[in-house]
Amino acid sequence: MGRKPALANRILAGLFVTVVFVFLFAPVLIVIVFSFQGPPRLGPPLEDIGLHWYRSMFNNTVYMDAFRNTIVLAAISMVIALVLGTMTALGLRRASRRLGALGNILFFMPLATPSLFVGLALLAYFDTVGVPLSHGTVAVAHFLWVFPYFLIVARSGLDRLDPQYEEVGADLGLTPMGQFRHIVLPLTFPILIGGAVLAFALSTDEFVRTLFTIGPDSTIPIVLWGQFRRGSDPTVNALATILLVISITAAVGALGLVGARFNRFARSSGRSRRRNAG
Amino acid sequence: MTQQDSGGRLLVTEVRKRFSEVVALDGVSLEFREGEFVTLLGPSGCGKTTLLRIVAGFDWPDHGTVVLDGQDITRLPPYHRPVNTVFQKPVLLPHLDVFENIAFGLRSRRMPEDSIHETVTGMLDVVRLAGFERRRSDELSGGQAQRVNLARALVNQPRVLLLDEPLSALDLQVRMEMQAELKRIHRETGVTFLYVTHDQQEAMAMSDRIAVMHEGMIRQSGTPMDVYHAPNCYFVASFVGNANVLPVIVDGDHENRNHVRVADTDVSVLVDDIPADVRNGWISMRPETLRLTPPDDARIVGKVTDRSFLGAHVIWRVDVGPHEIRVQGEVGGDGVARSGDLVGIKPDPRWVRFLRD
Repeated sequence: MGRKPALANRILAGLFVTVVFVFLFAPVLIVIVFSFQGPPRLGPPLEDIGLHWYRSMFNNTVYMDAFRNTIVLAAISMVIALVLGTMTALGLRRASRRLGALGNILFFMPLATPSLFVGLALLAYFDTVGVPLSHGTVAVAHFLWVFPYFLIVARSGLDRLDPQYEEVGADLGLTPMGQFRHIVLPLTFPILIGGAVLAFALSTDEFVRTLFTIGPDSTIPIVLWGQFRRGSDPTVNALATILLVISITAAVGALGLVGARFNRFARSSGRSRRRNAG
Repeated sequence: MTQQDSGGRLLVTEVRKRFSEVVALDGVSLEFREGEFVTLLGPSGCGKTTLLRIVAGFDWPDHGTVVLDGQDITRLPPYHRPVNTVFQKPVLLPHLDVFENIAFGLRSRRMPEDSIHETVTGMLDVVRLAGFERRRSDELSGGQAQRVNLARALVNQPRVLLLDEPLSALDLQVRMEMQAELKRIHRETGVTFLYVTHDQQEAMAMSDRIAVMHEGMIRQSGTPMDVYHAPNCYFVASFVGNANVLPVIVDGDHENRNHVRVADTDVSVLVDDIPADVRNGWISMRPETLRLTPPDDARIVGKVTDRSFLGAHVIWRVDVGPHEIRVQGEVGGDGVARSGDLVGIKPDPRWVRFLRD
């Protein structure tokens, strides 16, 4: 008697989870499946399976330029956010409570600002100070976009790090720089890398700010937007699949790297310091 | 470990420290002799940990100096001080195993690899953790982690070892065991130990000298025996051990100023060394220095309210006027009095202390 409701609950829960997963992944699966569609159609039925749209994508210089721009832009904004964001998080960690609260408001304000407004403001600003739109201006826009996200992640990691670990380092003879290298970094870099991956991903599909600040170049979102205004092109399925593969590989790779390094850290850090010692 | 032959004389002079509105240290001076085991004992918030952190270099005093073997280290950062700390929580670096945790200070001082291996292995023997080299912090018990913590500090051959309540997180049994270990290690290394605790039993058991702290000041500094049997103020008498501390009045018109009257009673007690100008104060009597007698033999008479059998001894609680006096006796000795009995209490005048504040 007692088992019946439990079983029903389990079935209901299973059903619910299945529905959620279908909802989440069906569109993605459809894109992947139809990227292998034969020419010239975009939708079902699936016929003439092959790599037609992939060839079409690699032969399309507009797509390939946009693709390169997107990756370079994401890498640049990620690296700058990683360096400046880590430094900011370290500084805020030592700040007084009042200064920390002020820092939160100022640094996280961009998250609450409409992207349209930021895009327009940046455009007006670059125009006023006389900087022509270029890779540089769009990199600034992307950095401003991803920085608060990276900072949230970095602070969540660094603020949870017990300051006593650094005192242990100081007690054992490490200068503040050494404490950062041998204690803070090894204990928080999984989170910092997580923040960096997030920053990379956010930059990759940023649209509105990019549109206002990019000038004559394009990124993938800009190209896709232009493409869909002219009517659908099945090449986008191939493009989306490639992007998906890259982002999943990056995320899984980053996590795997983090896990592996974390487990072997004792030995490798021992070795690296052994080299210094020798 | 060989006996350390150099240094460890620490001189703390007139140190004051304030954290915004709170005065943590209010003019503390203390001298540590070479190789001495000194305990700062006091309740939480008395400033003992602040003093340790100032010696370690984690905090700087607002006023006063810290001098180690003739060198003023008051403003030296912790990584340039020849002292090491055993922290309260055993904060082992979680990304390193036991060996690397202990080797950490040697590596940051760029010791050659061969010497590191030898030194760390030797230190693992000292703290009895040989074979635990490759364990991680989550594979150690609390006592083992604290041994690693100790080894990690000691391996750097500090001139002063600072211990910040290192046993407070451990079970009673492990704590007792570690007390014996700490004494042994102190003896074998000869390093000056500055030990901070709120546990008076711990302080008694290990220290050469105890400095009792209260409200940012050192109230009394002396051997465990001095501090226990000759407290110099109300605070020390009531904090250390479990003394009966009673308010007393010195009746000035007495010819004989060797007697005080316990306040709100007509009980008088014989005391030595009452300062000339004092009208009232306190007396301290340890429960184990008191004896129960038949009521007609004694100056102090009261009614037993409770008798607790504690194995090795018995504690009676006796109401004398508005005060309660605890008397400790041996089982089977004067252990016959029961609740409700009228008894006399006989203090041993050698162990009755007069306290003026």
